Amino acid sequence: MTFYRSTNNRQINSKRRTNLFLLLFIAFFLAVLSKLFVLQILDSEIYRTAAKKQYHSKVILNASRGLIFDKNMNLLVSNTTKVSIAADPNMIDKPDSVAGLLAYIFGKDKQEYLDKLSGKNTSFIYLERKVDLQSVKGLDTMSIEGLIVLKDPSRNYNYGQIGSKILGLIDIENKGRSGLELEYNDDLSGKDGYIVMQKDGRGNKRPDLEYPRKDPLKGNNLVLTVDVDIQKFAEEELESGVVNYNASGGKVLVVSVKTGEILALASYPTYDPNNLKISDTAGFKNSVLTDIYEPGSVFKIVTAAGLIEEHLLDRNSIVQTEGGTFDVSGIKVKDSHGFNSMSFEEIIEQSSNIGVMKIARKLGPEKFYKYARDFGFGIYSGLDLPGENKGYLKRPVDFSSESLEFLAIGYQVMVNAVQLSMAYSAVANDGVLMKPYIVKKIIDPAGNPVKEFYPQRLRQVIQQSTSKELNSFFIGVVQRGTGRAANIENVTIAGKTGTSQRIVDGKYSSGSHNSTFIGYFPAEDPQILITVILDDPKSGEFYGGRVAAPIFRNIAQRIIDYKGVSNLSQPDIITFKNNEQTTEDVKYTAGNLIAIPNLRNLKLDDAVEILKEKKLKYEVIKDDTMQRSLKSASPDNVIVVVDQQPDINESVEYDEKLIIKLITRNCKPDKNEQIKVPDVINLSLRRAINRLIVEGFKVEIVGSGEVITQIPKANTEQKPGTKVILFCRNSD
Amino acid sequence: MKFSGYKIDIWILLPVILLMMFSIGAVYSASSYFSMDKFNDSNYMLKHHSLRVLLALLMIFLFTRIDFRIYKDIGKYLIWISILALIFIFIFGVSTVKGASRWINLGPLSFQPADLAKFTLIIYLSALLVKKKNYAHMLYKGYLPLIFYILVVSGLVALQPNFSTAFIIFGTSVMLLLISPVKIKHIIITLLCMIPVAVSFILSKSYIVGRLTSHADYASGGSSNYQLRQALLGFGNGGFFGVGPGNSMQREYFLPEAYGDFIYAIVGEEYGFIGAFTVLVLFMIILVRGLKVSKMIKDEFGKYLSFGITMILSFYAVVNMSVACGLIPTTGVPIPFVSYGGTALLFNSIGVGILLNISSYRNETDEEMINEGNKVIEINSKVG
Repeated sequence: MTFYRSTNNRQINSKRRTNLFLLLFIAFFLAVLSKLFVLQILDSEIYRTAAKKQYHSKVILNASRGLIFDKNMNLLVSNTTKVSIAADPNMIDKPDSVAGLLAYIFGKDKQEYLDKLSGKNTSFIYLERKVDLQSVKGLDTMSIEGLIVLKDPSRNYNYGQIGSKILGLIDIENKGRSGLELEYNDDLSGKDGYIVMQKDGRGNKRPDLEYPRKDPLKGNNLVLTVDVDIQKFAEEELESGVVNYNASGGKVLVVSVKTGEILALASYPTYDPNNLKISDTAGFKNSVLTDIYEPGSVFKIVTAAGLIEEHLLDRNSIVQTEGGTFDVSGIKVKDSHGFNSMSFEEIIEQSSNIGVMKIARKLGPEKFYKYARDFGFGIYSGLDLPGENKGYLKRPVDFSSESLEFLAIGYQVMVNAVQLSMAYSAVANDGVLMKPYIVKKIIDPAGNPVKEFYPQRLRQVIQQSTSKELNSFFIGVVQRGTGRAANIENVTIAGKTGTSQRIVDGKYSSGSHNSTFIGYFPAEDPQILITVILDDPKSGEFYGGRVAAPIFRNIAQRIIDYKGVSNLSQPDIITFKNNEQTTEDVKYTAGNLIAIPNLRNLKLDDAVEILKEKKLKYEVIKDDTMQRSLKSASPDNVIVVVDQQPDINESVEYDEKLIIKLITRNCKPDKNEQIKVPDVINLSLRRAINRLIVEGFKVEIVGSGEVITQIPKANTEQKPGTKVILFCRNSD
Repeated sequence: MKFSGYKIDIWILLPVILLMMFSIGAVYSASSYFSMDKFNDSNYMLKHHSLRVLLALLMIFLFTRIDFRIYKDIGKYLIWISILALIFIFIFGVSTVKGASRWINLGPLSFQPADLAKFTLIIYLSALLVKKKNYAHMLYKGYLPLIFYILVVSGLVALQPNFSTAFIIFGTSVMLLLISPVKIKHIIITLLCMIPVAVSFILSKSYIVGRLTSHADYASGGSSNYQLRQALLGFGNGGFFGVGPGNSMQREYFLPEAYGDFIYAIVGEEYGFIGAFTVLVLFMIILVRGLKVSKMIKDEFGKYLSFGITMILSFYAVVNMSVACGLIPTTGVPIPFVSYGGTALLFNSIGVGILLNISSYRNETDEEMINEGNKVIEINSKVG
């Protein structure tokens, strides 16, 4: 059989080449092997880090923002979820039925939606914006191809426009943009939590089993000094005053004179925060704080107070008032009345400019400046709202030849409404200037005080006797003088009018004024002060006594009706804050009680972080009885706080030595042990997940809300790491 | 070891069985997440794969019992069936996988003619080399008919388009010619003529250019090759010991179709360097033992056939592993016995069965073979 025979030469050749290919392929295999060696041994750590990064993603759980209450715990601001509905018209299969559904839900014309859905050259169009979650009738849970439902956490202003200037607004990122929302943003915003999600290559996410989630900490709530009823009176009366006297705007401030609490703060124009329009932007500023102006006669308080305090002039001393015209350094000054001589008291009652200019000379620039500054002009009032303009008070060295005289009647000085109100409050408060404040206390979500604010005396501006004397002058203003329009039956009102010319085109205008009335009552034991300022009233009347005083009277009357005459002089018991105490000290000394944070089911690291933030000491106690096996004590293990002492909601006196005990447990148990599945039915999803993870189970979630069924069943013995499927349903 | 009366090479059979066992675990790991998501049954693909492995084992044992010499006579029919099947899908384009027609549906079964063709070509080339052994060195009578079949089969596969498989088929065939009396001069001239054809073919297929450039990008530190980057993360994350069976993260859609051509990366992730090394060594054993059979066997047909089968399996393995760990540009070539996929597993098992049958003759003289062979034919005819 020659068939199988071949030459030796060829055989050897063939074998040699076979060996060559063998070596070649072994070389290939070795090349792969060396590459694996690099990948899996030398550079393994680099890849491991990169891989971890892509498996996990942190999902931020937004903390719900704190609420704002008025002094009587009326809820002014709460949280709500707004829903915007948009569509990708190209993705909508049946525009007709979708439009029909929307028309049914929102009670609008179907054609309106059909028009929007027929715009095929866009892939995103809003159908409804920022509507209430309740109003969408479950549309958010339906999945309609092409329909996009966007949820925004949002604020609900329960009184609408009332108090909007105080409360302020938040921006789209839920951060304070103005008002209290801005000033107290850190307190209100709380602390966002997170959940670590495990994700796959297509971005599908599920809660990671290795990491317990960190719950968001709700923001703290604010309790204001504001009384929403008084706020309502102020805003309504201001608005009708602005309309009646055809003013461009106005401000009202209501202050509790004994404490410096702001009872109401209003300015016009204003806006409804629940329903913002582009035209509202002019009304966004809180002009009570941001507007400064030349106050006119209300500034005469400085001269009058100084002269009495320094015993330079008796109330009955007669001053020549030149028959109504006077020349100051070449500038002609006129009085609206033409008396030749008036007493000091009459000068204030009738608000004689000439008289005040002349008597101011007795006081002199230095003393004038001292009293003006002591009353708080030219410096920040310290009110805890953003945007205050401190105005401008000339120093004596900067005075020109006529400065003293004009300052005395309220020109060449810029003040804001808060400064004026507090200066008059000082007179009403036995000469003591108070620091104005609008937040009474900050409380945690459970209602425990976090920080309380107390009335704060800034300084004794004038003697009590001086304040009594001035008080009687101001009573005279309302009873006999320029402020008669502020009179109210049965209640003695004290007050002062002011009318100043506004500067138009660089000149003082005889046709444009700011009109002011500041008054307080009951004058015998002053409690409430109201400042009313009208900007540029154009109804023909412009004197403070004619346009601002009636508004004052209306507000005062409503407050008196609301409180009752007999209750006006019964103030709350007031605790004063010691001036020397710094704000830092107050932090945990509110009644010496502190709020203990809830640390249960947090990773130890997170719990410690919270405690450090609160400057609380802690001690970690390992719960060995629950720790299952030492085999699992690798550094990867997750240590979770299972208990704490003292517990939340326990009232604990703050003490330097206070130590929070954290009982911790290793939550990665030995893989071979059987453990009982805990019963998590009826628990909230969050609690259920934490519970199961702490026990060492994995969790899979179907639905959301409250757990209604679990597989495997409770109390069955399972291996740690077993997946427990939770079926959930929203409890409502 | 005597097996069913034959002394087959256990060192070829054992690695193959081990690889198949490995593949059950790896396919389960690599596919369970996808299966759960897609078929709502994490075992869906595992069940299919296990059935196929069982079938594959049956094929090995069946073909181990069939005397390899019968293929010498039926080789011509086999090659033409393969060529017709390739032409059939080239014209009708039955089932499209990522833009390439590679499948034929036969009722519940579907198969890739290329998997059949790669073995029938080797069988027929081996037969031709034996038949033309006295004039294989001649151009017209020897070389041209041989290269004709090689070019037709690899050309049709390339046109599917499945360039990588065509390349492996062509490469293995050329290696087969190189151990035969065919003149190297002819082969070199053919290769030189192939260069412009291959270049223009590559340039006409944008996807190939894309892969080559993305590999160049990867090689220079870029990351445009997502699949490769994920494969490398898998290997790296596995480290020395691996993350453990069933713990792969890369399979969760990070590594697209992890159960297929990139399953080696999942092996590397779950079983670590140790696992990847083991798989590689198993293939090296098959390579060494397979070529040993080829060197030892007296039968010319058996020599070529065992060489071709060994080389094509090794070629697939090397290319797949090199792709998975980024040594060469990404191309879709399955790893024999491990990747999920029915046709390849089936034909590879048949190939191994044939190889094992050849191995049982490796130490025998011509005379003994003939006698043994006659015996087999007798047995077969009795069975038949």
